[in-house]
Amino acid sequence: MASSSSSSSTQVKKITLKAADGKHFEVEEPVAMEMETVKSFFVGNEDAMKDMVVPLLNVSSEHMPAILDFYRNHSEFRKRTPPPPAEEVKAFNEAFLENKSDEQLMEMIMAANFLNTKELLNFLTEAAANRIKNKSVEYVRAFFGIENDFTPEEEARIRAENEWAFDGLDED
Amino acid sequence: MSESCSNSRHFSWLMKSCFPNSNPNQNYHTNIHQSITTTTTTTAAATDISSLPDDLLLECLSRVPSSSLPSLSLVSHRWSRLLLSPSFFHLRRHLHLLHHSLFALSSTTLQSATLLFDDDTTCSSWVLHPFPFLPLHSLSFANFQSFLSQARLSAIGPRIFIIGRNAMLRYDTWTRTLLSCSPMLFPRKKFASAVVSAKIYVTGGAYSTPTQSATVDEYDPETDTWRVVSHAPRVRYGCIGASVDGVFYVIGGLKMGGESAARAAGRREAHVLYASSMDLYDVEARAWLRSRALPGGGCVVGACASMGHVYILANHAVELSFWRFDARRKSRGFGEWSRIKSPPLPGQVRVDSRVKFSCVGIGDKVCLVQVMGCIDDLLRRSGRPLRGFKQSLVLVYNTDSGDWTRGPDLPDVIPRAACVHFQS
Repeated sequence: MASSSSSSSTQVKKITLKAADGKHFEVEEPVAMEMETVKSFFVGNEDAMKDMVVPLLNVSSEHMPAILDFYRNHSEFRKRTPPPPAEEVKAFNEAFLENKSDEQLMEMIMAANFLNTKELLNFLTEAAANRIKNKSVEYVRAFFGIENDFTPEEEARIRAENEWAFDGLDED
Repeated sequence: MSESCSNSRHFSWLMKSCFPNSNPNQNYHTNIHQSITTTTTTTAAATDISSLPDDLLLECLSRVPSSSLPSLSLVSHRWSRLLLSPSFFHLRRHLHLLHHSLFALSSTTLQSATLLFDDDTTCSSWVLHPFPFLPLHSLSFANFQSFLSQARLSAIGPRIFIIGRNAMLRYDTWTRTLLSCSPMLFPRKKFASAVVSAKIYVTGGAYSTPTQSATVDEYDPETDTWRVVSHAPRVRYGCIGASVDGVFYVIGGLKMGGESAARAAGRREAHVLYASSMDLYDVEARAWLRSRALPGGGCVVGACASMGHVYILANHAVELSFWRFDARRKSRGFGEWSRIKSPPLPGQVRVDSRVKFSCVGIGDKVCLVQVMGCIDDLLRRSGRPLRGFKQSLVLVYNTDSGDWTRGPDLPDVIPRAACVHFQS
């Protein structure tokens, strides 16, 4: 397997990834292998490792540094003994999401899905869920630019039926 | 194991996104390069959450706390549809966001209450909800009460079906909405209902013609349709339904047929007519298994399924007995009855013909809710019937340890309740 070859050599191998807009990123092999998509690219094709450029079609170069940073830190968290304190992981995750717009978050979810990394996808979808919880219908629609396709009659009827279920929402 | 499932699912998404129009037999690398042009356009369009594909939107929505679900279902038709989809339920189960709860609905006050059962501890406390009484069904309050008083409840995941004689409602505990569904094919009263593989099965009960009530009818919530799937070996009035291992159990009730049927419907105390047996319908095979005799005299006042067993509560006029039937079809003990610890009724609860229990299987627990009955028949005899009545006792049987504990009493505002287990 690819991972065993890296441990036998003293120098860390690098893999070149190509973002959707054509920009190249040189990445240490273990970090690149965090992405199932990259890993499966090399399955049965180990000889090609040296000069192969892996195209990542759904990942814009804007998000690549942050995503690679996530992989580096989280794989380090996993390997460390004893495991890092929860606050350290939480602090990293919060810093990761800070200043990320909703649009950027959505793009990264698409990227994480394409890269087939369960850990990153779980983390990002959880973050998206946190942004829409306890919000009013109007807030959620405006926040994510969703068009209301209910007719006024439909909406009024559903609201009348479950009006009391709307208690306890956050202020918009 | 579940981890590998999700990985394989992700892998199939990946394959989809990688090779949008490809033939799997074509060369791997040419495909990758061909698909660059097609996929970059979708990246550029990914500007907000509504442009996420359903799979990814579900991943986000399934992580939202349940208290936010009512408003999310109103965002758009698409979101509402996603929240109703089986995938949404499965994702929440996978994320351990589903909890067992007991739902109780009063037919007289139209109040409902839920009791959450945690995994380790027994249960918390009742949470009251006003039930969304519907003007849109043009039912008066009194009609609605009478509809509820004869209804059976069955739940599929978070959705509770209230099956009445001539109408059926679906109450969604996530979105807190009530919808009208197709009514049963034949009006039934005191019938058995149970859920097998996300479909509802009913049989038995009072009838206009005997042949109709002898059918087993299946309700498919996906299509909102009923159909007859079988004919029962006998008609039972006041029977109770349960399901284990794909088998619909039709338990107890009164024997029906010919002249005696009409009499039985009018006479509740007709002990001689108890059908002390239960019928077993194998839903997938569409076949009846051998019927089984019931222990304890056959006067079953409550029954439910839990952890591969059917539990029944039998009334012997002065005391109750509690029995367990091994319903695991692959087990060697399949078909064996054993008597287990009787529910510890407090001294003031007298067992008589008026006492009524609802028996509900909730995960590895069996919950007995006293929904009717007297706490002190001396008071009743002395001409003060109302003061002597109390209906609130909740007893919880742990199928693991075999012990009974007392749960929080059903709130006073939930008299004459119908109870059901749901997951949300």
